[in-house]
Amino acid sequence: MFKRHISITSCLYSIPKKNKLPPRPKWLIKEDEIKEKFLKGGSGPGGQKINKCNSKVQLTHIPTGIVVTCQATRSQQQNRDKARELLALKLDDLYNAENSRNNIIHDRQLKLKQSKAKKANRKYKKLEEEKDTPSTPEEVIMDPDQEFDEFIKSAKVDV
Amino acid sequence: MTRVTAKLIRQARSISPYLPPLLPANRSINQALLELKWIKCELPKNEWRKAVNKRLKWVPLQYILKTQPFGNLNILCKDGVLIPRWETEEWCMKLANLIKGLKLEKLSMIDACTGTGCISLLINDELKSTATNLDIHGFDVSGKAYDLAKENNEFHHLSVNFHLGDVFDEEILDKLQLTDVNLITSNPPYIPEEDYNKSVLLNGVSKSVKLHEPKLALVGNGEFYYNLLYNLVFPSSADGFVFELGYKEQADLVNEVAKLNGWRVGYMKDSAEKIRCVLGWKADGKFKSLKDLCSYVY
Repeated sequence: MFKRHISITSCLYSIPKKNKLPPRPKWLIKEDEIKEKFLKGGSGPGGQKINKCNSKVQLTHIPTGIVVTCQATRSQQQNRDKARELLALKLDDLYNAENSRNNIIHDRQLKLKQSKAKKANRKYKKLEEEKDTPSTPEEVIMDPDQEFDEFIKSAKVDV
Repeated sequence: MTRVTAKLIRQARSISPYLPPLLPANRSINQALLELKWIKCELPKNEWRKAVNKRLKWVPLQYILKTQPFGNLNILCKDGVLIPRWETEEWCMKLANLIKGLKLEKLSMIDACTGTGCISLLINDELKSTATNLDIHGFDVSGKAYDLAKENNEFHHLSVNFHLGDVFDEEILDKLQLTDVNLITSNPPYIPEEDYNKSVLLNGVSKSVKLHEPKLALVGNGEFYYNLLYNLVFPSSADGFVFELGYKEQADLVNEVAKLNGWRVGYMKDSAEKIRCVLGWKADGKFKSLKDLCSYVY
């Protein structure tokens, strides 16, 4: 049997792949636990009289009192979905602080940064070392007869 | 309205050179940044300058970006046709969900003063995956609106039939050759002439709307509701109607006229707590659950 050897350290410190991250915790959203509000900004006339493009959505999670707002897009439907996603991530942070998706993504980014820095350090160290030890030109060993011939050639003296 | 201060303009310029022209219409840097983000997302880079300069002349953002999200649809918008409002979207979604719950065999609906066609298209889109047979029609008096509604229908691959027609025409039902109708919806012009000329601070019309959106789609009053009832609701076999409005007097008028003809009437408020819709149903008809949408029943 061929046994694969996995070291503990490599397991602990390996960077999780982007497609192996924990899923978005959508199951934490229960529609009866949240209060949804659409903020159109200010009082004043509505309907045909005014033409607003923003559609801010505010969600309040009643059991915990967490409030999230979203006005990233012009579509109310998309803002509603995004606000729910945000709220789910926040609840995930609250319920399992250690292994929440946000935390793992944050860790991953940190590790990526560190490994990038490590690689860069290694590269520049190597370059530095090469600079410090200047390469000595190789000495050419020649026999005396050949040396004399070459000297004659280069001297260009009329014999 | 007060002028945009030089300080605010300087501040905006230090963030982005595209930002200062957006200030008059937005009043605050945060709001302007949001609009700039949408402009940058939806238009190619060589059109950004033109877009912000148009906004400086109070052109509605929807005409610049050419679309307005409406439920799950992205309604195309063009100069000369009223831009769909969020209030309309809100009551349309509620109505669509109510119709879904009714599990009708057939829905034949007319949307009067359809404009971009947003109401009929959204109802069509929401119900196309259900077992209900759909026969949805929309009409508008404006040629521009008629063309745009047809374009929107093709753009979203829906099956609404659009026509040119006038609510003030007594024979409109015969002309459209529609007799078997369940439901009538409309978003007629409902701003009285005197309010159209007022400032937005006195419950009037905002500058951007007054300068760039068609007056034909905005100014109107009781006569529209009167004609909708007498030319469409009463002569047809409709069981329910939903009309958008802006004033309680308009709902009172609809109630007075419809009650005499054996209809039950109520009105609905939007999420800004403003009166927004008048709903009518026959006491023993298919749409008696329209009552559940009402904030007040007469």
